[in-house]
Amino acid sequence: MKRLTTLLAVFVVVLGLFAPEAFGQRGFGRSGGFGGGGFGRSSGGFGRSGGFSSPRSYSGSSGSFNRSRSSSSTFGGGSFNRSSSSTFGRSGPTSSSSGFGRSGSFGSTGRINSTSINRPPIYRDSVPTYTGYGYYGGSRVPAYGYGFFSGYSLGMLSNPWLHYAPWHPAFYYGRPMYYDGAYHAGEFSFFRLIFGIAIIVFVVWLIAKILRLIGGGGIKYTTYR
Amino acid sequence: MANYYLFSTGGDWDTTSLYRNGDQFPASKLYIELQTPRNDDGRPLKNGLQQGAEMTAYATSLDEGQEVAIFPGKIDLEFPTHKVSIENATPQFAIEMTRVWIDEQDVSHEVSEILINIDSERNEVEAYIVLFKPRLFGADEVATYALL
Repeated sequence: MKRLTTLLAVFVVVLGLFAPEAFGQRGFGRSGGFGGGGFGRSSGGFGRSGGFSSPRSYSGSSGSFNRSRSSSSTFGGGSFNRSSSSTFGRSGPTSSSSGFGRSGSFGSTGRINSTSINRPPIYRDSVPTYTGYGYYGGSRVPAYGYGFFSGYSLGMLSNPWLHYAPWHPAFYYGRPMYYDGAYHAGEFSFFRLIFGIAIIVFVVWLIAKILRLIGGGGIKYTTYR
Repeated sequence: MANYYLFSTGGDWDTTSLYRNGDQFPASKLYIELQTPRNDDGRPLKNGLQQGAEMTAYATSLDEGQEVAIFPGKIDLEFPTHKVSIENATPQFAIEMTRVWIDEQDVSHEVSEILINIDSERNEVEAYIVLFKPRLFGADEVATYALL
């Protein structure tokens, strides 16, 4: 009974040693199966299959595949040998080779770090109230607005002519500024407010003048009783 | 002391009367003439009396034939179709301080010309007010209110 217990304990320990690696390979998808031991012995199979050219680069870039190669020696038993020879001879492994093609996506699933924006000094104590996107050098970058109507300033990213249109709120804000990887809305300009009012008054006056000229000299006579 | 005149007419001599400070004032003539400046084209200027004006206003007493000044003071003129009020209470008779109402509406900033001539001796009556109404859009309006 004691021996049985000892054997059971050893089995558990051995299982505990190798099981995580096996699970880890399974976590990489079907590519894990190749790492299980087929590298050394069934190299001919890999050579015949064009799809297996990718495992070379994959094994070179992944430490886990190197470890799996060492583990293949541990699993050098018949089961792996047999399964590799029979499976690779048929179409099954070939189809699984496509898994290596997909495994390229693993490289893109890296860690994503969230970052807080670095605001310009004028907005150091402000909190963005509007967010959008703009393009800088062909790249899409975030855009932030601060306070009332500041989103109109960011609208100039897509419609720059709004900066010259007094009838649009964007006229009364500065251009968006690019600062540390993001666009930030321009500030409200009182000078542009006064300038815009003057332009509007002038336009209204000009229209009135034109209408008066069209109206035949600009005076009419009426009599009331 | 400012005077207060009340002129009223129904359109004929029998219904025409003039009161001064509450008392009937027998008069042979009531004459009020106001003319605001005009530009070189003869067109009235904006802002009515604010541009200044020339004004003559008096009543000729029937008994003495004396011309009595109406201003400083106020006169209400009740015509069959309109009621006109003219007031200037400044002792120096500053013309810019003159106020004119037509049917309770202040037209001091629009008035261009006033002529009230009620002459019983010559049997002449003439009464009209001309307002100049500038328009921002469209033609300005010169409106003549025929009071008689």
